[in-house]
Amino acid sequence: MITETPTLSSETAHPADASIGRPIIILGVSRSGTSLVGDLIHRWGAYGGDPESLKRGNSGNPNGYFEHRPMQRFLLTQLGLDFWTPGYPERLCERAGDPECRRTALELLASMTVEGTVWFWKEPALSVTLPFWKELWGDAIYVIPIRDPYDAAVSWQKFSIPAEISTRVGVVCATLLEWQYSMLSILEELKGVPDKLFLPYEALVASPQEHCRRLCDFLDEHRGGAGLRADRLERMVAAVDPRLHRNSGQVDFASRPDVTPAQKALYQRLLQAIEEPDLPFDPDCYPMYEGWREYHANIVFFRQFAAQVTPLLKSKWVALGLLLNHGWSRLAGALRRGTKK
Amino acid sequence: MIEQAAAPAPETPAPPGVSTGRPIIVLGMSRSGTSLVGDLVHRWGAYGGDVEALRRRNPGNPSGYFENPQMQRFIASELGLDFWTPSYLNRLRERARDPECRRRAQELVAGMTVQGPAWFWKEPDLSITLPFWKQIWGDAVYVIPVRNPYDSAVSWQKLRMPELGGQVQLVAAGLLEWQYFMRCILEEMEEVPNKLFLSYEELVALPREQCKKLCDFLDEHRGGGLQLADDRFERMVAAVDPALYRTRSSLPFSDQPDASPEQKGLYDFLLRKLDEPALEFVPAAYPIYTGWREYLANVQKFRQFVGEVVTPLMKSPWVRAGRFLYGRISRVRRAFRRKG
Repeated sequence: MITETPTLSSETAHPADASIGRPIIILGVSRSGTSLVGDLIHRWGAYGGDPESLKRGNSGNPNGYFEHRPMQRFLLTQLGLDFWTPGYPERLCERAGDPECRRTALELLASMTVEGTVWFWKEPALSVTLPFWKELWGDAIYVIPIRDPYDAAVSWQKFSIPAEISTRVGVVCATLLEWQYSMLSILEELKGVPDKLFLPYEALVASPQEHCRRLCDFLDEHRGGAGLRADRLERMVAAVDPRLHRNSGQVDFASRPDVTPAQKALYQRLLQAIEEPDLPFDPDCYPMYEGWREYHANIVFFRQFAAQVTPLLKSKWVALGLLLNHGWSRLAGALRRGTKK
Repeated sequence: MIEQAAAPAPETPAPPGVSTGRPIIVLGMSRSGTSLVGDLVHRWGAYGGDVEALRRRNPGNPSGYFENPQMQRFIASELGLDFWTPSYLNRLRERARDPECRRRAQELVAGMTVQGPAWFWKEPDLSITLPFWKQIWGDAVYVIPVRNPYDSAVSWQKLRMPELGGQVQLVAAGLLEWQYFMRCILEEMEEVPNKLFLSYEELVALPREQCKKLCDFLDEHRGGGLQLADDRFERMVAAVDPALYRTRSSLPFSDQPDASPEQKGLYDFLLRKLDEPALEFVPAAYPIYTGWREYLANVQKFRQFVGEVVTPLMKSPWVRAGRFLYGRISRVRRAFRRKG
């Protein structure tokens, strides 16, 4: 349970190596507007890595994902992404205490300052690995887009499930469990962190001028606007394309029958955080469904199994076997008919 | 949702002109002791169908499942088993109104009375199809074994997806299924007078006491005018083999971390029902996780994919032959390429 996570002090001091600067970190689940916010912070003037790599997009995010590949590789190889495993938070704390792992992570952080000290990372998995990163980057600035979680889950379903089975397999509730875990982790880890901004995704798309101004002012205040382009706000506003807000449910989140009461309450709490980011947070008010670890582990296993087996089923030798079977059945049928005559 | 189900009148009379007797129905989730209770009711003297079919067994139930294959085929083909589908309850009510479906079900029920009026059916899926069956068999006598649901779920998990050799954990899924089944049973049994909740653990620990309880209950409600064997009670006691009580957790259900508070509350309520079967059931006190339909649907689809597509295909001699031939052809091709 997230409530049992040994939390680190929110007032973690700056790391010994000050060369990593003070990063801007974008948190939140996939499909909740994190890529758009990544684009905005990039346009504001923070460095996120190789621009070509940041803007690499696909149909899910035509303008790019704004993710730093070496950081993603580090997460995958050094920390693991199996956050549903019961000992995961403890593993993160252990990894933060491992000298070799720390050194590799600090090198990665230091490499972000090549273009100056203002840099950012955006990656949904950062939300569940904060107990590790906070030990290393110390005092950081956080931006958290808040989107209707059902819309984010439906969007994730569209882009993560292969088209041939997407009408038969639903993962919306599984994705809502991931959202709940990630948001509980974020709220728990950001307790007492002073510089954080919760940004409403729907309002950002509907009123880009107003919300880009809010983000720009926040970044100017906490990371300094000196030396940045004068037209940064206009460039940020230009990035907001309302056409990319493709999954907008007609039903209010509070009225969804497949959402738990705790998830509805958590979303309300997040909406409040937009105006009052320092509101007290009690994770016990938003309990996870007790079987969430099993369900999530199974969804991951089913996906991996299907991904491994599907190419086999489509392989030429299986096709040849089926052809032989078909030919033999026809021959046997013809022989039977011949014998009867 | 189950709360929205309009339950049919509990005292629905048997259809006129159809001999249904007054059946003994064994309800409950798989792996909760329903097969043992089926055996006990069979030994008491009720007819359950062809004895060979009843005793069909496997390592999961070495003494037999005591299930009637015709009834099982009817449920699978006429009603469906996809109880997680939102429209499932409506479908059951529609099927109960369909004259042709009713006629076939009534024939099936009438066929059970060939050996006398005391007959029984045991099948976990009867628990979730009661809105249909209660319209067909009218007044019945119900026996519901109650077992620690965690033990049932662990046992259920062992028998699901054996192809994957324990790589998939399904205990939480089993608990959701248990919760749904028990809610259905309790809701449908609310106004039914003749029902017995029987503790599986006590039955195994104290077979004489619990078999007596069951025997007395059946004698009282179904025994009138029947020629029952004098030694029926001893035969029932002899059926209880404690060696078959193989899955038991060391933790009480109330301490299981992956059971929800509502599931724990429901189990407590069922334990109270052992002594007070008329206790009022309030479904709203035991809400089920709102994503249960999605989870159980995904488990079922994955089982179908593994069991019906992947495993048979990989075991097929034709596919193996194709793999062999394709390997040979590839080797010959590579050899030609090297020479070329």
